[in-house]
Amino acid sequence: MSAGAGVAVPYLTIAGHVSAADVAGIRGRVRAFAAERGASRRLVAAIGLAVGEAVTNAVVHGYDGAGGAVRVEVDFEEGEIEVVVADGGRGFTTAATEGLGLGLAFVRAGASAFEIRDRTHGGVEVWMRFALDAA
Amino acid sequence: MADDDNMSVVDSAEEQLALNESTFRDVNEAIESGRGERGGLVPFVCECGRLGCTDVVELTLREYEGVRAGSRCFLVAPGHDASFERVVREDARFTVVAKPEGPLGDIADRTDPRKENA
Repeated sequence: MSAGAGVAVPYLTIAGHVSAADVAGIRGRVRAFAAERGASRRLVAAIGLAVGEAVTNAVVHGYDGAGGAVRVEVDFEEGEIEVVVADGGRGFTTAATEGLGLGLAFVRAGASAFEIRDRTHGGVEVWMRFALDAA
Repeated sequence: MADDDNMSVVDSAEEQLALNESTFRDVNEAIESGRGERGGLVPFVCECGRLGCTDVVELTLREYEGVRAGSRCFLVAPGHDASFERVVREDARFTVVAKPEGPLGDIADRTDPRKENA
């Protein structure tokens, strides 16, 4: 996996082949990014939970548990942390499997806004926004 | 104690269920808004709110918009309507149910994201 950190707009990118064993590490890095931006403990926990669920969904539902290419992009601008979790898996289709809705409910519970997008060339993108002053 | 005779009391488990239903409605709104392809059947999560329900139901976006026309209407998998008083529509693929008048219906109204954005 690769990662980067910018200057003008703080950001974090994690990309590569992701399996279930990587979820905790990704969650931890995103949590740390949020904490460094001044997010409250409660918001850090909410972001970590949401990101963990979104990445787990990608691994479990996008790639049938085997894992695959996942990209997590996080940035901080104007008091908001925006997170995008994208995979190149089978997409949110009729073949969706058990646990999908519950994971997305956790994402919904923590984010001030979110959207589940089809990717043009396959896969799903979960976009989430968290306002620092919301928690 | 004040006289509570005129207050509507809702069992907390029922309230929690109503809030769960609203959360899954929000998930489906996120699925609908992010859908690039407008045709065909779209998978949505069951909004019955029961712990452990992981069912996915398929609707066209036109059918989905029909469900969302009412703040108190929810989309559930066939056979998942036990916690709702009124079935609005039954289809082989999905069922549309409605919350009753009163506190539970009020929760559905209050948490309707389309009302919030209105």
